[in-house]
Amino acid sequence: MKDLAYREEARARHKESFLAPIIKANPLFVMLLGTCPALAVTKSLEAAIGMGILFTFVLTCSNVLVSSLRKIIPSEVTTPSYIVIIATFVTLVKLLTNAFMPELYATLGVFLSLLVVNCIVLGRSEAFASKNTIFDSFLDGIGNGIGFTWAISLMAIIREILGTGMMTFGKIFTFIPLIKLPILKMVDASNEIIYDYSISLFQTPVGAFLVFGAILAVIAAIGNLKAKKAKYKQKEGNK
Amino acid sequence: MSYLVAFLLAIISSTLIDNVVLSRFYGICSFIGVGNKTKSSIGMGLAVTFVTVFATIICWPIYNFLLIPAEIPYMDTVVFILVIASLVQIVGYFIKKKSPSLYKTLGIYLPLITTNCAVLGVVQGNTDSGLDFGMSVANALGTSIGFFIVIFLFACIRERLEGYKVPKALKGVPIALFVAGLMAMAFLGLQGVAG
Amino acid sequence: MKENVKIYLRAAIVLSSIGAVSAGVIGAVNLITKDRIAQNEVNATNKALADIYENASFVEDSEFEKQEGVQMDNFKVNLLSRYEAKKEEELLGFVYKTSGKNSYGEIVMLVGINEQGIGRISFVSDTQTYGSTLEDEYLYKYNNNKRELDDVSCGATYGAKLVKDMAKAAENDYLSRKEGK
Repeated sequence: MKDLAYREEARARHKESFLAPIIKANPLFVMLLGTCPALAVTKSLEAAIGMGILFTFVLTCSNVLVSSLRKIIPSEVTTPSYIVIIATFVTLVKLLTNAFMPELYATLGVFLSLLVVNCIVLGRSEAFASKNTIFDSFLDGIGNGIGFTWAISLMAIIREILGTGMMTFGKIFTFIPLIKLPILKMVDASNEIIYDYSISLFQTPVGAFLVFGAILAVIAAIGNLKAKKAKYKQKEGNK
Repeated sequence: MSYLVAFLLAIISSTLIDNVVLSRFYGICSFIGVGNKTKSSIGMGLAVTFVTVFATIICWPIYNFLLIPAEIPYMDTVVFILVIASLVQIVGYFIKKKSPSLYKTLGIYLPLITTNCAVLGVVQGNTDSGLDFGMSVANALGTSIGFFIVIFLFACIRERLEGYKVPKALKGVPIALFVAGLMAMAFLGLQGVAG
Repeated sequence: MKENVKIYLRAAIVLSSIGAVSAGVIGAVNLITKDRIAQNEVNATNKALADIYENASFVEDSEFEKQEGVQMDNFKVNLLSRYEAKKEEELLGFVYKTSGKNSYGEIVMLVGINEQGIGRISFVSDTQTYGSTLEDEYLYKYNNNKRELDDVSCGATYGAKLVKDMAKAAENDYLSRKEGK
């Protein structure tokens, strides 16, 4: 009986550590962590997805390793140890990306190295992986990775459509053919512009701030609306 | 163009024209987190300037005279972050001993600096771009001064904003991001200066 | 006191063993990826070459000597190598591989030059500030509208000056060789 209850509890915990960071405790939109890469690499959807995948890899690996070493690392040197572990994985990712996806490496540039000081990666190591089991840390890494990836992808879609007027695929992921989906901007075969409603401001840093601010405002507005509804319901209930 | 002119120009360009916070988003975490009080923004700005310049002075020789001759330039990120982390520790210890009053203003920001992208970003950017020592220091100085100026201005604006009525959904971080966007727009106008 | 030493010793051992393992892993991965990264650089040059003269074959000029620190209007640039571009035995022109630095970073680019002057330009690598408009805007305008280099404008003026200097250094070398012959 006790065993069953324990297992139930463990399953709930696994589910929580995987699902919570995807929406409820989204690292970017709710926790406001990792804003630096989120603003910098969201000029195109492909760059954002690439960054998201590499981020997920680094976070999951460092989470698992930190969690498996949590009883060995003395408390005096936790932060330096974590930094070395994270920096190692980032360097591995850098070398592998440079070797196998040079276009992605060139696009992300210094922001790949800056994963080392990403608040989410170090934060999850300190706050979660150092206190939880390996499996939970693994799930937490994947969950946070997915949460971060969809968040920056959303920003990238908005910025790419508004900024360039098209969605371009195949420029960074060269294994798929080059496709340009015209949305706000249309060009004919000889590159003559037919119509162009794009606002190039959204490709500049200004656009990054505005889009991020607008998304956070929408999230806050939804939150306010929900709170209002809950209050209203409570009032109804009281009657 | 003499070296001194190039040096000064590099400082000015990385301070104003290519401001790190507003164009490369370095240190945006602390920008949003700390940038709502003028006093703490000054502390943070000073601490970042201090650490960035020192980290550049230490990391540049390590990269060019140690890692490159040993043919392990790919170890750069690991070495840089270790240097920065220990530098932050040492600087904190040193300031605490020598000037307790300075420690009071800087102390609490020092641990935050290890994870500030500006420091690693500048050091890594300098070596990636293959800049020489003088230019690296100029870039570090200009970048951190730029960080200082922007975070201070931002804090001033946010302090003023507190007294105004803002739509409920925009309260707090969203309006701060819009402010940052408008600041970035203003700084875009300075790009013509480089001419 | 003895306890303290033990703690520090343990911390030091753990930290240094983590460091040693990580250095080992990175070194091993570097061995695997080294050749591919070098190959990628060659590929990047080939791709840029194909961008300048389509469907041509390129032969590197083995007599060409690397020239470093050529002083131009604003910057010192390097001429790294020179290629002959041929299409079915007909000489299309020359391609110069040049590099140069400004305070934002380093550019390595190829310049096509023939009788008509400076032709297409293509970047091999560019470590200018992330998001620089140099390649997307400046080069695109130049290559597609066939204008003079001086007439093209873009936001990244400092980088554009470097590109101009590099292209002109290549042109000067081309002209002096032509006169010599």
